[in-house]
Amino acid sequence: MGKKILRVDMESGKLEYEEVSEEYRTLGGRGLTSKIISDEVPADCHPMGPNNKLVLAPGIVTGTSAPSSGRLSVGGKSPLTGGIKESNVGSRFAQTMAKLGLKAVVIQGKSDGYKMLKLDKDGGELLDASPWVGMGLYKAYEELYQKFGDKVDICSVGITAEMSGVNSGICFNDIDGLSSRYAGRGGLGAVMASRGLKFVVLDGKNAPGVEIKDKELFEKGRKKLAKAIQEHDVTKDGGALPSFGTAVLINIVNEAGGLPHRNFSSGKEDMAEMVSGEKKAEMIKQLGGERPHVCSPGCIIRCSEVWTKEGGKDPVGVLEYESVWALGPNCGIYDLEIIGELNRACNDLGLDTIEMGNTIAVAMEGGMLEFGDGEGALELMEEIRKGTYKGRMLIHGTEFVGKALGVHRVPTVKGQAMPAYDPRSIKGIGVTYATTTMGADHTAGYTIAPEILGTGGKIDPLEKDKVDISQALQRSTAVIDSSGYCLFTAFPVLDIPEGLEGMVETVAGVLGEDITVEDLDGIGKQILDIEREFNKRAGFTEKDDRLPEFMRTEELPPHDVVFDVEDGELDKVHEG
Amino acid sequence: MVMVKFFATLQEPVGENKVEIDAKDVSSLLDIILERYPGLKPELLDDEGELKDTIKFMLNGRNVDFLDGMETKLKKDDTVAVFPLVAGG
Repeated sequence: MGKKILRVDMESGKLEYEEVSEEYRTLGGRGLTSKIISDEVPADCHPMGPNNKLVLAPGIVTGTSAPSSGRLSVGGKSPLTGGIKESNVGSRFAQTMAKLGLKAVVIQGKSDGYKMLKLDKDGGELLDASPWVGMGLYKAYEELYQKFGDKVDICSVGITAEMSGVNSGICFNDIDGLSSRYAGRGGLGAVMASRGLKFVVLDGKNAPGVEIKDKELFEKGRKKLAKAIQEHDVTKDGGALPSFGTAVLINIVNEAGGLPHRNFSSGKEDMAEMVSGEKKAEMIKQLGGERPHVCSPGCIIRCSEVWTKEGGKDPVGVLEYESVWALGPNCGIYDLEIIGELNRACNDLGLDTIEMGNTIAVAMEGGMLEFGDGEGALELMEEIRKGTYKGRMLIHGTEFVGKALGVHRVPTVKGQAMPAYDPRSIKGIGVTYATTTMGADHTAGYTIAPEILGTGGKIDPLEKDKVDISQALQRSTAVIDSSGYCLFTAFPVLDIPEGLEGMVETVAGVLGEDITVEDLDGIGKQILDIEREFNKRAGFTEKDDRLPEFMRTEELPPHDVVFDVEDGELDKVHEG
Repeated sequence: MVMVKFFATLQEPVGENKVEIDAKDVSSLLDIILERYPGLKPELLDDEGELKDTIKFMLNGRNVDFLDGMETKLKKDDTVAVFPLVAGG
C-alpha cells in the first residue's frame, strides 16, 4: 500500500487522505516538510496567523528495519526566526506514523478550543483536549497512557505553547512514555498550539507497515550500514556515544576552548568536568537511572539515557550535551542535579532547552539573577509555569529577552540562539550558524566533526577557510534529515565508504529509485535552495547571514580570538 | 612537569583523570604513559602497534596535529589532554 498525505483542517474538523503526487513521491522528512511549506505557506504570513501550516513527515526509511532511523521532521514558518524551519526528533512516534502509511500530516486552519488528533490504521478523529490544557506534560502523558494504553505514541505541546511562547518546542514520547524527546528548535510548538492542536496520538496496532519497492537492495544496504555503525569507534558497543551519551563532548569542546561559559564570555573553564558525560554516566549509575538507552526501537547507537533522582525516582529522560551546556556552563551552573531539574522543567513546560538556557544566560547578563544561581534559574521556570509577566517574557526567545534587558552580548542568528560551540574558536560552525536557513543551528552543517572530533577529515578549528566544508555538510545534512536516519549515522558513514553506500541503497530500495552516492550533493542543494528561496520571499537578505557583532569584536579566552571569516566568504556558501 | 588529562574510555585504564609527567615532547609523553599504564595500549595503539589515527593529544587547547604533531615540544606547566574518538552533538 502506498503512503498518503493526511490533511487536517482544524477549522472544519475535516480529515482528508490525499494521494502522494509524483512531485512528492521521492521526498521524505525535511525534504518533504520544506517543499510543502514552500508550496503552501505564504512566506510573508504571520507564523501564528491563519496562513501558516505545520507539517509532520517521517523520513524515507523510517518505520523499516533500517538501523537508527526513527526520525521525524516537523516543518513550518518559524515564529522565532521568521523563516522556514525544520526541527528533527527521534521517537517511536516517527516509526508508527510511517507504518500507518502516512507520508506527511499537514495541519492547517484553527479550531475553537484545543483538540487531540487521534489516528490509527482505520483513520482518525479530532477529540477534545481541554482536560489537559494548563497541565505539565509529564502528568499529561501519564494520563494519556492510562487512557489509551502504553502502546500509543504521543506528540504534544505544553503550557508555554498555549501562551504563544516562541521558544516552544514539540514534544514526543521516549520508549518508556516519558515526555522527553523534542523537536525543540524554532518555536514550532507555538505554531501547533496556534492551530488549536494540543496532541497527536497514534495507535499503531496492526499498522500496514512501510512498503519497500526493492527488498533485495534495501537488505544489502541495511547490512552494510549496520556493519559500519557497529564497527566505528564512536557508535560501536562500548564506544563513546553508548558509554557516555552526547555529553561526552563537554570535555573535548571545553579543552579545545570552544565551550561557551557564562553567556559566551569564555571558551574554557575547569569546572566543566563536573557536568561532563563521564561524570554524568557515573552519577546515573549511582542514582539508579539507565544508560545506554534508545530514543526509538531499532537504534543500535543507543546514545540516549534516563536521568533520575536518587533511587531511580522521577525520571527526566535524556540530558543531551546541548541541554547540559545551555542550562549548565552557559549559565555558570556546574551542578548536574540542578541541570537535571532545569531540563525536567523545560520538558514539562514544553520548552527548547538550547533557547531556554541561552535566555537564562542573557537574563543573568542583564542582572535578573547572578551567573551560577541554579536555584534562581529554577525559580524562573516556576514564574513561567505560573504565567507571571516575568515568566511570559522569558518564553519569547533569547533575542527578545536581550532587548528587554538591554544586553548587547546576545548569541543569536536569525533570532535563534546558538548551540554549544563558540564560533570564534571553531570557525566552521560559525559559517554554518551564519548561513544555514534555520538560524543558529549546529546540526545544519556539523563542522565540529572534522574541526574537533577528527571524523570525516581533520581541519584546524582556528583556520578560517571553512566555506567549502560548511557547504558540503549543510547539503549532506539536508539529505540525512530527509532519509530518516539519525544524524549520528554520519560519523560512521563519513569514515567508512561502504556505510554511506549502504545508507543510499536502503533509501533507493524503499523508493525503487536509482540513487547513488554521487547524487547526494545535488539532492541536498535542491532542498537548501527551496528553503533559501522561502526565506528570501520572507524578507531575508545577506545581512541576515551574519553572526552578532560582539563575536567580531570581543576576544574569546583562552585562545583570545574573534570570528574573522569575511562577509564575502560567508556569501559563497550559497554558490556552486 | 606536564599535567596530562585523560578522558572518556581512557580514564578507566589509567585509574585517575589526571597525572603529572615529565616529558620533552608529545612522542616521549606517549612512550611514558604506555609504559606506566599498559591497559592503555589497546585504547591508543592499533593492531600494528602504531598510534591510532583517532587519538587526539591537545596541548593547551590545540590539537597537536595542527602544531608539530608528535614532535611538538612540551614545557613546564603545559597541559596535555588525551582523547579517544568521541562524538555527539
